[in-house]
Amino acid sequence: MRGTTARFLGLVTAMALSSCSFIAPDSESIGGLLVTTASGTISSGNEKGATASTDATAAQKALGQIAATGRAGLLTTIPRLNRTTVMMLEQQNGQYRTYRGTNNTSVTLRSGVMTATRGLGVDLMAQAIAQPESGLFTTGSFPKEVARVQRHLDGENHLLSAEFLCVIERKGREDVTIIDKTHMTTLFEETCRNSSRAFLNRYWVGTGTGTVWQSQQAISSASGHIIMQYIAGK
Amino acid sequence: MITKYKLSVLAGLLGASVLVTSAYSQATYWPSTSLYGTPGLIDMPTAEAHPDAEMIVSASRFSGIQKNTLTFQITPEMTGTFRYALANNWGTFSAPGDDRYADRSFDVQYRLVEEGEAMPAIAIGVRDFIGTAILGAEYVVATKSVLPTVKLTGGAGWGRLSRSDTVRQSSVAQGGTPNYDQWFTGPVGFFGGVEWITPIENLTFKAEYSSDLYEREVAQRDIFDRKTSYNFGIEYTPKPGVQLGLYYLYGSEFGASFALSLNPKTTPYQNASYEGAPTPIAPRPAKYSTDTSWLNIEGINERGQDQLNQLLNPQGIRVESLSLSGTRAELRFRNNQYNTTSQAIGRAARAMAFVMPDSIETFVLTPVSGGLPLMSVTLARRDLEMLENHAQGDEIIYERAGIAGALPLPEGVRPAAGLYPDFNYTMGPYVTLSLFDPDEPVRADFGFRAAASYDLSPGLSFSGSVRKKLEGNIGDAEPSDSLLPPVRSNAALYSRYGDPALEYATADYLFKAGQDLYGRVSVGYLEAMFGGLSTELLWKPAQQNWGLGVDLNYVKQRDFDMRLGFQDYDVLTGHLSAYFQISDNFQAEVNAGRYLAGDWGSTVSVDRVFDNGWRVGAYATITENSFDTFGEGNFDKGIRMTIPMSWALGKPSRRVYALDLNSLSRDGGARLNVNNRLYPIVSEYQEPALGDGWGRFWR
Repeated sequence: MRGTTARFLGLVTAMALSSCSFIAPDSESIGGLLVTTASGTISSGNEKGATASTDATAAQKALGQIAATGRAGLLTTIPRLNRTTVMMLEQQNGQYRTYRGTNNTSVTLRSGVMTATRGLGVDLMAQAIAQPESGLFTTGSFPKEVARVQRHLDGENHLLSAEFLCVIERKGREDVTIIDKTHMTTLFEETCRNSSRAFLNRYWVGTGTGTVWQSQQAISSASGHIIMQYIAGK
Repeated sequence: MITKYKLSVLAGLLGASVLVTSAYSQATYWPSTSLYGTPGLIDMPTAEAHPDAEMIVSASRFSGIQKNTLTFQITPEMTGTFRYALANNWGTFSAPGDDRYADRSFDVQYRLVEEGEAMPAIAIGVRDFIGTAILGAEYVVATKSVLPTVKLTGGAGWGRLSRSDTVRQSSVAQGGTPNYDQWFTGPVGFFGGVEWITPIENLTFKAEYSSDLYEREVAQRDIFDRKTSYNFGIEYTPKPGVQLGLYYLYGSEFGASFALSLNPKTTPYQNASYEGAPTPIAPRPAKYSTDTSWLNIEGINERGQDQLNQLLNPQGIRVESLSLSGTRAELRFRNNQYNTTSQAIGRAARAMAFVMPDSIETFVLTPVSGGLPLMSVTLARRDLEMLENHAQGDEIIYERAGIAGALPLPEGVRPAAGLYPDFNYTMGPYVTLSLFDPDEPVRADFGFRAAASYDLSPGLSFSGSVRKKLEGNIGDAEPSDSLLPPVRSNAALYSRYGDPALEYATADYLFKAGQDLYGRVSVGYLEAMFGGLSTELLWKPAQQNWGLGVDLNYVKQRDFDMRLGFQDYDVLTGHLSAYFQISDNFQAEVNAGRYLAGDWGSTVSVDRVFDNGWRVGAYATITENSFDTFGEGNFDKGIRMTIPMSWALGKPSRRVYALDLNSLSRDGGARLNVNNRLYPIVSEYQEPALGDGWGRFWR
């Protein structure tokens, strides 16, 4: 059917998914938008008006929305695409959180590590890391090696897999200020390489909390990297 | 249904030139292009092959000899070339009093051995093997990189390349027949040369020894003075995929060339697609309810349709019908946006996961096109929830999906409110081309066109198109001198008198005649030159990679004014058709039956098919008519190309450009040009196309 998937992929993804479980609310209902009475709960990200490009005013407005709704959000910049976007948490599937931007793009994170993007040119379609993301910066000794697989579409709609060997190093204390809040963080740098590509990811991880407050993560060789700042919800 | 816009070849090539720079950004290796538009030195070939699927458009000129060429890397080893050559001071080849010749030709080169550390690349080729053979030659050639910046080439040639007065002759005066008996016969000439990538950035130097004596041009017509066999040139590549060349040829002439390259496998946007993000999966809680009492809520189905439409309409998907039971939801939908079926299915499935009550575990998605339900994909909701973020989610969901012929609509389910009747219209400019007439190689009409369709109920529609010519010269061509009923060769008269013109006006009914059997009945003014009744049946199981079809039509020829009247000519025409997948990349179609001129015969088409919607193919029709009866070209043949706009724009779109580099409008082997032929409609949504594009399911 499509391009073959590396043998390695199965192992890595199995390890990655082994820790996956759905976060479920305690309350039991018959669920689904169809039977709710609140017809306005369809995500605003799917509304036509949400496709407008973001400017400073829109960003301020979205920040206001984050504050008003209490939902978590991301301030994102993609230097190569010259895009700055505010993204709000739209959906959570297990440990994966998908944020949608006001320009109808999205990123999916697992414990702060990006696993997918949509609408960002050559998207990161999927990613698997041979260690649960939740413990990537909080367990083990540094520097440490972690295998990673990234998947992208080629021009013929075939999913290609690229394997990387990544080395994560703890660089030291480096606090981060997001809007008006300063977070005590430790900077980790992750260098990933294979025979044809290399990239550098940076994570500013909250001291004691493990929260990735700020990061710079690779999307693809064509789209470059995305810089994200996390704004916690209420 | 995909809307096809027949654009001019020139427009297509122009578009290609705009796209080429970015399309070729990933280039790592690009054999240079000769004056013949093929991989080569200057006038001599090399054994190199372009990257698979590479397409090169080139133009070259020296001493009044111009070659316009389209070269396609058909497979990694096989290179195919179509050329339209013009030469001044040729004498009376084309027509009395005309001193220019204009001629089409085809080449094929096959790389026998790929270059290795010690071994050179070795290729064998035939030039102008099916035309008038004026450029006819055969060769065996070897090319080796001896230094990182130096390539050497040497070869042996026959025909034109034999360094003799040998001239290939077509077995019939007007060409069109391969001259197998002449290939690789007669004297042998040797040629060779060097290509040096200079230290000056993007500049290449070439020198060659030519074994082409230009017997026809020099000895027979004195078109130029051939003083030596040595040619020299420089080529500049300002950007990957763009080549400009200047040459000093045969000791007396200056020449120039220009070549552009693109590859259907690589979009101008570096494989990027900027469509909006899909709706993420909304997972059910771990302890979700299996209560199905919600089925008793009044208007629940309509509410579901509304909510799905709210999510899907901005994504170009429209609900056709919805069927709900306690554990199963069946959605029929129209895909108006994505040229990859899997992407539309994936987005519709995610919307269902967002909307449907927790008790529903099974989603059935059935795309509908032209009122026809084309197949059904059954997905477990749990799989969608689990695999959305799985690195192998694409492969696993495909393996688990139930793909079958369209499941019947449950009893009592009706089309969504507001779907029918549905009126649509388009207006815009049009360009029509007439190519390869020896008297005037390019003729064109342009003007304004308005088309409309009215869908009355599922499968039943009325549609029509009118045009008003503003300017053009297709009507200046000579009327038919055909020995056959002039079913196509009077195109000039239709252009001249059809202003304004009713292009078509039909009532069409598309229907399911059985589980895997599709039918069509069309009546009215079916196309520009014929009206009447057209019927068709297609058998194509959803998971099968081949299908069979039959069409039967009774048509009368329309008046030249393209209004409501008919001429006296009528004909019963129809074909048996077989459609099948030759390999992962190639599809074939065979049509056998009776053509519009009453001639019996068959058409064979082979297309290189790309999973992003590109198609590049060739076709040929042989009928009972003798070659003399057919006229110039001997039989109908051509090259065709389909370019998806999603590839060109980097945005989802179902529009395609269809280009057809065909023979002159002759009467033999002419098929009715009716809209809504079933195989393109049906096959787009079924295997193997469905699986080939499955990579976009989660896009």
